[in-house]
Amino acid sequence: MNILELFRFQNIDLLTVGVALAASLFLGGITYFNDRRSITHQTFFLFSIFSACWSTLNYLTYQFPSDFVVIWVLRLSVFFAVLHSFALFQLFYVFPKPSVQFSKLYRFGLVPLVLFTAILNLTPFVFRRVLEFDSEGKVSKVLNGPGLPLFAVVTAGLTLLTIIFLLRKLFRSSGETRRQVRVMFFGVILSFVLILLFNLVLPAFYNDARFISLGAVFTFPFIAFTAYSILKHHMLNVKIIAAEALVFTLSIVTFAEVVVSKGVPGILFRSGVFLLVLAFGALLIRSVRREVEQREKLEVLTRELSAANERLRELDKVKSEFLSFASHQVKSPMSVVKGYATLIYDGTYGPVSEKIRGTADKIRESADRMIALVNNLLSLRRIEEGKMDYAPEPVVLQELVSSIADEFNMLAEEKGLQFSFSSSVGEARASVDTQKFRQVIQNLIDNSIKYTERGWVKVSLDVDKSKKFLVVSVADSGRGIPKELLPKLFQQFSRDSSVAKMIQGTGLGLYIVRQIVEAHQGRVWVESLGEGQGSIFYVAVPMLV
Amino acid sequence: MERKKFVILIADDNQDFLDILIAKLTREKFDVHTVTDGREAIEMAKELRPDLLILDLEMPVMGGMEAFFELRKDSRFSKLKVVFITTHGDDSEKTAWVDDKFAREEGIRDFIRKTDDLDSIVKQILRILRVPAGA
Repeated sequence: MNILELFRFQNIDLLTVGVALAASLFLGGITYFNDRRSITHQTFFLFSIFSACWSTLNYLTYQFPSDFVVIWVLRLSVFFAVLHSFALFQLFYVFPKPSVQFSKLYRFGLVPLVLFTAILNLTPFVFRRVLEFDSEGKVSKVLNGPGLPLFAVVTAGLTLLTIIFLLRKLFRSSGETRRQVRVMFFGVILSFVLILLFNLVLPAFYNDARFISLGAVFTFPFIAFTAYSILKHHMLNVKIIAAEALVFTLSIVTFAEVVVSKGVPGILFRSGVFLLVLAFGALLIRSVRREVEQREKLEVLTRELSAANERLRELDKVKSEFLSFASHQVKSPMSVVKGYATLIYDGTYGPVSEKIRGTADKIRESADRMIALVNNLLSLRRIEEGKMDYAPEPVVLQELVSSIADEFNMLAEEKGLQFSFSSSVGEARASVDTQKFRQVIQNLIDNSIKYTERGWVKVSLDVDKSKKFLVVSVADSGRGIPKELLPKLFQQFSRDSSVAKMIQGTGLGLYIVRQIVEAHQGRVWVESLGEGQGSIFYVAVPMLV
Repeated sequence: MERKKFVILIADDNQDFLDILIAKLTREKFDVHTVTDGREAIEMAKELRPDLLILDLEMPVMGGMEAFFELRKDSRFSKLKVVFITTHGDDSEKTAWVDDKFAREEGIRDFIRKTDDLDSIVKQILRILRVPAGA
């Protein structure tokens, strides 16, 4: 019977074994590439390889009627049988740890003994030669050598150790490991029952040895369950499973094509295809796995980030609430300080010396600065948080600006400044939030008076050239603004350093002004010829038609 | 010409601020009376029939807002002028409603910020008192 005939007659047999083998190797490979550094994953991979070799050889034992081939197949088969038993033992020895410190006895006793026994199995010390074939051409009797008992003892010993470690892990472990071992144990039982049934019960009691060569099929349940228990958490990903299933199906199909193909060129060609499918399949799975891993990492990072953001938001809220609370708590006593200082200053409490009057004025000014600071901080917080609520309504701007200007008459007078308000717009209206717009104009007039030692402050209201905007201008003969400072004026925390020494302020006022004006679809700008040349601040808001 | 001596009732739980307003407003020729919570404000208002009621928004026992609506139930006070006091600034949502037309129709005239200059507070009060009630 030549190889081609063998394929033809045995192909169902071969296909079953082939599928089981491919699946075993496949699962072993997946497990290994899942974590190449883990000793558990490595050992499982080795086990699946040895198991596949052993099963293949087991299958081949009964396929060749040639003395020479059969004896070597047999020798190789027991060689792998030892390694297979050892790998299984080590799997239960290390499972589920990623790394294990092996004892000296293990490294210098057990491992050399196993290797020695395995290599000995390749020599005539174990199997001398084939004695006879049965009527179907299958090998039935072999002359054993003196080394066979060693093989038997070592394999039996390893199997015993395997059972001991399996039971130990099963009963002593807890939690996740215990669940994993239970799944593996179930696989062991399943494989054991299958092997017992088809390799022992059927041949021994029913004289049916047809299934002995299907060893790979019987060990597959164990491999499948073990791979599942090792990869449990990683295998849940649908995308990876899909890729793996696809590759597996393709491998099986191409392998089946190898099995059913006729002629050596056909077999070679289809074998090549099969190997290519395997190789590209492995690459595909690796890349999918990598992508999924990266995505999982990203998901973890995203979750952490959003949790951190949530915490930040909460902190920010607490901070805001605290700021608001603290601000109002500060303003109440400051209003009292300011009130008492005013009463001393303006003579309500009776006549006082110039010195005391001046001091009271300084106290009042300081209190005012502090109140302004707190108000600015509150406004700033609202702007930054986007919580500044605007309630715009049509307003006759002339009335509003005039009433604001009135408030400053006295302050300007006290400083000996000429102060005036003029308007050329009549009843023209703009849509503004009265409170906020008041804050803007107050801030600008207050600034002008503050930065002007002598001369005048003029507030005007006009229509711009395009006749679309109402423009409030606040002009003064004061200190003026250096050119290099002009572009920075409406930014947060910018203030002329030379002025800073003489006049205190937060530098927030103009920033807030700009924010409010821009919220009104308006524009604020400043003109100044330079230091000592005075300045003009403009606020333009759309005029209502 | 000597103006009419207006009667003002102020309710605020901050005694210092009351002292300051009493001193300033008395000097400005107002007849000033003070209480320290909303409940007292109602009792006193019924007795005193002030020209202007100044209420702090946050007070123990009864806040200014509550006291105001309580008083409005009495038809005798339907035209009473009321001003609220607050420590909050222009940008506070707590004072935003004062601008509401609704609030104005209800007779709420304005609010006084405790941090305002005393002179501007006096001006504000005079302005409110000179406007006829209900206008």
